Amino acid sequence: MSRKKQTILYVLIVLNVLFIWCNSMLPAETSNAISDPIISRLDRAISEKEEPVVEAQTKPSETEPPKTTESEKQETENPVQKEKKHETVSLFFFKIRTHRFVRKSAHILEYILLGLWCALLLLRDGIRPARYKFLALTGLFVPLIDETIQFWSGRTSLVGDIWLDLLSFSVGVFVVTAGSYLSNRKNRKHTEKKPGRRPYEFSLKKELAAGVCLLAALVLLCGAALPVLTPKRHDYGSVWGMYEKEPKNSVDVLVLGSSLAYCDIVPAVLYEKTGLTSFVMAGPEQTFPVTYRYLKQALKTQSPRFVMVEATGLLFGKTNRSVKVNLTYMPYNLDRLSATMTETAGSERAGLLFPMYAYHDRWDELTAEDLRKGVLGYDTDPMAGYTFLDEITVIDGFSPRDLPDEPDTYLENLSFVEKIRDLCAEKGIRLYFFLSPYASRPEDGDRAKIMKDVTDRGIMFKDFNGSFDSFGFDLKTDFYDPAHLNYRGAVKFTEYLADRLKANITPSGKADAALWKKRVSRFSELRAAADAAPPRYKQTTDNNG
Amino acid sequence: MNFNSLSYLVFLTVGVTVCYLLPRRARNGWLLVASYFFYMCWNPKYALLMLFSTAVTFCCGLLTGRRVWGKKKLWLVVSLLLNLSILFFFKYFNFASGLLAPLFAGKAVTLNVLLPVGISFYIFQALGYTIDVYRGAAPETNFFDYALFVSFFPQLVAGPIERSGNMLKQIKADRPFRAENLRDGFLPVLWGLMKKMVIADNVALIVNTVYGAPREHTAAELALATVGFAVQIYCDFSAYTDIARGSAKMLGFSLMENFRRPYAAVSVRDFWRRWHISLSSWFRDYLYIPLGGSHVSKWRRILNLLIVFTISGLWHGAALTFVVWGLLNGVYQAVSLLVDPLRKKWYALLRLKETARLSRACKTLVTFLLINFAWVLFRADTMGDAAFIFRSLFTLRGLSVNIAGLGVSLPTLILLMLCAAALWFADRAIIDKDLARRVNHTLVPRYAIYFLLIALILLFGSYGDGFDPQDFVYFQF
Repeated sequence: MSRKKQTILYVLIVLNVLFIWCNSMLPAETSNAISDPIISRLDRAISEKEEPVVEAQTKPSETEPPKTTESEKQETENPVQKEKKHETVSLFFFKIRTHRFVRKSAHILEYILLGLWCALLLLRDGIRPARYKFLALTGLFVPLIDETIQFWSGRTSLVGDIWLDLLSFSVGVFVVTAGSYLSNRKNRKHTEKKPGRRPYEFSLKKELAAGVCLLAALVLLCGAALPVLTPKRHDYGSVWGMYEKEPKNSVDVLVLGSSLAYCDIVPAVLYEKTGLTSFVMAGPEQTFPVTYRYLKQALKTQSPRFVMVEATGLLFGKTNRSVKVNLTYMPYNLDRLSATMTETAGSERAGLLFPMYAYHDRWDELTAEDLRKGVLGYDTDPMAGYTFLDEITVIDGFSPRDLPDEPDTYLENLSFVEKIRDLCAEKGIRLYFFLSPYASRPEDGDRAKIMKDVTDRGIMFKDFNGSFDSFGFDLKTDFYDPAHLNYRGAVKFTEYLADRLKANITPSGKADAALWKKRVSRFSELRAAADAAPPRYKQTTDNNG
Repeated sequence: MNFNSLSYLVFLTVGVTVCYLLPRRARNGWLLVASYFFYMCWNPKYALLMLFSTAVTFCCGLLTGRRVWGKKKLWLVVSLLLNLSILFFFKYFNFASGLLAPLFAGKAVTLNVLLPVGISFYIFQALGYTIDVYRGAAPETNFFDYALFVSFFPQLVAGPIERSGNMLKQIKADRPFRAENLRDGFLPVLWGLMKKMVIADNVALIVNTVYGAPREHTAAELALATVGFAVQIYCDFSAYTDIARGSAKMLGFSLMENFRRPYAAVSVRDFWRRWHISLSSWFRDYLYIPLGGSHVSKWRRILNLLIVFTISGLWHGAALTFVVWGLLNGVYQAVSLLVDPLRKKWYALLRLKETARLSRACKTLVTFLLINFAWVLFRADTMGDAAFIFRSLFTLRGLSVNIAGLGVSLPTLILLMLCAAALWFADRAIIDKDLARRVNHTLVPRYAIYFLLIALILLFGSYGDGFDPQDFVYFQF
């Protein structure tokens, strides 16, 4: 390297270091004034962005209210006033505030450049391992002084920043090292004769072995990517990830069925009233073939003594838009496979057989929660399968519910009722079918037919619509929509159920008391917050399973 | 059956496996059946059209070669007339009718016919054969071999437009099973699938959004979409070629190269030597040179260029935008020809070397801009849209970019930019450093590349729920 180039590098290093340190000497206000124009431009650019459309599959039922994420809940519960609100830049899994993004990017760039200049100077005549200690010292010394200056000038000084600066510096050094290595290699190639490395000779055995390794690597990739890419599910049924975290054999009562189950029965209330542990393992518009598979799978980790099945699903059509969501979250096994093959078709089936097909395009909307839950898995369900609904639809009378007329499907569903009965009998579980109380209900004849068909098969059955007045529902406040109860109605219905269950079943005593205490207090908190807030009325009324 | 569909992968696997399981004599027959099946997956009826064109050119080739009735030219003209009539009827009738409508009291007669997929490709391939025979090449005497030459499925619907000399020789040759052929063909197929599914189809989202409603976008967005289209069409078309060449290689055939880093061209003329080489060379050999080529006066040469490029534009599509696009490319070259002495003087005056790195970089950039300018006409739905886009670009109507309005997310945009940059270097390594051959002679690096490409397709490719596999852009031609 010529002397002239070395001088230029020395000047660049000095200027770069001075630039970094001088910036740190500036008071926070002055520094803000410099970066604010860029930040506000970035903010403006981002704020023009529209909210992305939520994927239809994540909305299992038309009746679902807009979901609130944990972070949003925290924000509404603990509103923190910030001096200046900035937009966030979404970088894959991370959301970073623009002011932080701009400042950090500038800082990182400064240190990368410094690393480049230093490495170019010190590695000018090739890679010399001894010189790296000088580089390391420079990379540590400059940020250390930088943070010290910031500390003295009354700005926030963080140890983490020193590491980040060192890392950025190392990137610069790495780039020069890699460049130097490659250039040396190239020069060697030109000057020296290649050492006699034998070219690969085609061998079918090696190809097959490599092919197997390739397949294994791809399976591993999909296996690692899928839990991250699949949308996370906490409520509105199909909460398999959380169900599987339930302490083994700790559930006394298992509730299955459609949204009528996960909206109307509150396990926390049931526990509070009876000490019985329960879990609602339902799914939106769940059809009976799926319910049977759910039961089979659920019994692999729990041994409930009582299984309650919401029976409106007997009248559901063969396929509906929620079959996919009900099966997506089921663990992989033969039951899931058989349900996939019999209950779905076309792209739904392809997506269930190879979920990358359905969810690979979520990569650009992943959040930190996707990554965390995808890698670490779900935690226990704070609501034990129940979905808290606080919106209100004022009910002004009962109406017939529009359900498909599919006699063959009904007969097929009955065959699955028998399978459920046999499975429960085999496991020594008491089985109980019921129809939830609703204002938009199947025709009397249909309900009577269900009652007859179920009781004819030797299964206990109760149509709670027959004792609608016993629950003390207030039609002005207790319904989420004509088919579903909100939390007010659900508490009343669950308390009614609790009284009946208490007479028939005693708690097994296998409950994780701390977990259930947390559940009870979580539900009480939500309930108290909703009671204290002005009533929220639902805009549209529709009924669904 | 698109190349980027599961059905094609199944078809290719079955096609290759059965081909090598059959006795050698039966392989061409199998490939012919497979090729017609492949074509009939779009529209079975149109296979008859291809058969007709094949029969006509085959017979005319024989008659030309044997000088039946002592007239070579007659059979050439018959073949040209019949084939071009088919092309005109299916592709240009409505366009011509629309153009001529003002002469007939504004009433345009239109035909309600679907454009047969790949018609321009196979007809040009067949015509190339007829002209070769007219020029003295030996006519093919085996109809089935000739039919396979016209319909060979890897290159049937979007080229490369092969020459009879290259293909018929390979069809006749003994092609034993060689595992190396499978290996050598697999990499281009994967590479092509990655370019199509990860880059082209994702960039298409931006391009379609912006060009679908150009009046709702700023100049910066239009410029971005235009550059995006340059990337899209290159990735799309070169991907098709890669898959075609890879598929053919698996069957023991070597198809001609169709792209050589076109955006690294230092002039528009250079671009056309690197872009869609099979078509450019077809026009050069069968139209430009017969018109006199470069061995004529400067003005005649310019006229030749304009004729060739206008016809090339028309070949691409029956619309004014394509014609003007072709003409514009001709004009670029004509202007380049005219200012060439001036440019040389300028370089001499400034003591600049035309081959210097900086000078080449500037030329590449200018060429890229000129080509992009022309792509506006190629992509715009109407001349009105194209005019509006040009106006917006020249008057700088809005310089802000609203990412949400581009139809993709910011991470996708970043990914696409990274992919485009990576593609530039990868192409350089493939074309200039013969990377594919070198990789194919390794084991671990090759499988690592397979893994990388499949992983990219799995994670970022356009497929899945609600995704309709995008046709390759050149299918429409």
